[in-house]
Amino acid sequence: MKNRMRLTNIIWALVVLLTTAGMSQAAVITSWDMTDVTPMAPTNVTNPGLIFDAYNYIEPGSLIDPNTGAVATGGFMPSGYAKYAGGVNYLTNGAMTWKERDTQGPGLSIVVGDDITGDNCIMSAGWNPDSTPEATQMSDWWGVDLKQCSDPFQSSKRFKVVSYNLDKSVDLTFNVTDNGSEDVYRILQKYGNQTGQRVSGYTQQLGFGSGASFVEAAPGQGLAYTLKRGTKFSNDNPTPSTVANQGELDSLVAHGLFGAPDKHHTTSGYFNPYVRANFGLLAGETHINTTGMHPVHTDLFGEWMPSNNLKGAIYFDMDGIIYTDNALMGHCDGAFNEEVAQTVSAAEGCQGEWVTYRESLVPILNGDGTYTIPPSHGADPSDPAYVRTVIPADVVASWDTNPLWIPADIDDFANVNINAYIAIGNAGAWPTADANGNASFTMRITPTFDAATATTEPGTAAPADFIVFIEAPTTVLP
Amino acid sequence: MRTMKLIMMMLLFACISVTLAHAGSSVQKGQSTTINATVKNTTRSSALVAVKITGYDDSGSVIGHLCQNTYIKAGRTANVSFPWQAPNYGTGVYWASKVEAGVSCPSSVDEHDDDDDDHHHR
Repeated sequence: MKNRMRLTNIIWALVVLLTTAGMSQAAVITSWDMTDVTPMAPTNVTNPGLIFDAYNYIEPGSLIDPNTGAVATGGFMPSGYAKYAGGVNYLTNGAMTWKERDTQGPGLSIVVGDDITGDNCIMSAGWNPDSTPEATQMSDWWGVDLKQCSDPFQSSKRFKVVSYNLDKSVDLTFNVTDNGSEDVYRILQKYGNQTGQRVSGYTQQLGFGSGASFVEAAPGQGLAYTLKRGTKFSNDNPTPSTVANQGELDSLVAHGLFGAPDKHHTTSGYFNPYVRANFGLLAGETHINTTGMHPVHTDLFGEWMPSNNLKGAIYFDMDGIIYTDNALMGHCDGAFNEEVAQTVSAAEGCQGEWVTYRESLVPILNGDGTYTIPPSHGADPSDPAYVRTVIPADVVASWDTNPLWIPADIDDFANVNINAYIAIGNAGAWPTADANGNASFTMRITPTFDAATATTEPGTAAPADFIVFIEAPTTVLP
Repeated sequence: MRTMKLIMMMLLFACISVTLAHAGSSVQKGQSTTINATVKNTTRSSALVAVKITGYDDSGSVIGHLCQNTYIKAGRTANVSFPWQAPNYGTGVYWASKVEAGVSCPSSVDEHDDDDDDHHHR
């Protein structure tokens, strides 16, 4: 009986192995077509004096400085040269960006057969920063495991595309080999508004070609937005993001700004601790359209902000490493200039009042060296003075000499996290296919502004004729 | 006696919900409650207005579409209340308001809840 069970186990293991092997061979996306990509100039050209810091891992021997002949060693490039130095690859009407640390150039990677789950995904490029949890210093985290779809939460898995121009499309083209199967890829993307203008929505399309020759795929042609399990959406009867599971069809503003604690976040959002801000989506087979930014955002700030006109905040650096996420402790209630706030003083950088919605500005040091951040009550758009505490001038002045307190733009306002899945199949019949079954497809994203429906940031137009204060539940218990 | 007890309990609940609402109150799935709004007319004219309150869940779905007409004198404040039933799933709730002068609430407006539970898959 025991031997029979062992035999059964072995058979099951073989089945799993064969299934996994089959999945890993079923990949059809072979590469990101970088024909139209313009890399940023290397660091030692644009800034000869710059030497990368301890957070920039370069695989030993993987890179040779073309100017000095220096070879990367010990995880670093002694000459300061890096192939993808600036963390930017320019695209038509936008860019692929990354912070050259655990995420590395060219900013995007295609994972076919995740080393744990066997899944496929399009994600950032670089190293899993959490692959060696026993490491004692940050530089030891790098260079162990290439990023995978199943890497831990908050390990910089999303590739980041930004748009530079309103109503102009950014295209990412991928090379594909037809293998006769249809494969699902998870899209782990961050999208940034660097148009310099407010954006009220965007469209995503799957199609062929790029630029002026782009053509959206036809339904049934083999390119489709899907749910996680591959269920295709319909152009005729699009699916709203409200009915999909979180993580399958989303466009989310950072949780640090809006949202209740959940399994991934132990603290609540600063501006609203109950509701997450997002773009509503309507997903069809070959395109996804936004249906508007959540009112929890627009009632406070209007439409989606551009990166060059952000709100300012004071951050507390909980671990002394500026590159990891910091806690948003308070904000500048007025125009903010990051450069002035960081180089002159926090007070000078804020043309308004420094205020906080948190119960206290004092982080509580725990026994294990971590900090507990006092909760935020969030802003009430109908009663701006409610739970809004003006930060005393001497406290603001103290930030100028304390490196753990950092006044900075709230960059997250200009980004959304996009969760989507696509199915790819029948590539041999695509208009881009050659005789050998090699083809390409394009993911396109286009930012838009609809003046007819767009909201205006409160306080930037005429004063309100009526002020409403609502007393109502903020949570329905699960 | 029983009716009196019920009224006392309702009054007690009302007080609690008003007090807690400021700090972020919660209700059970499907629970009926009252949404209170205070509207201040900052203009120099009295107005007959439609007070429109819309509740949104985490995903942005509308879970409460409330409207009530009221008359507010210039510079004065009016209180309005709406019955509302929570949806049958857990969620954060965001309430947005809009006050429109010279407009009446349509008679067909659903002054109760929209407990379409298609949205609770998250």
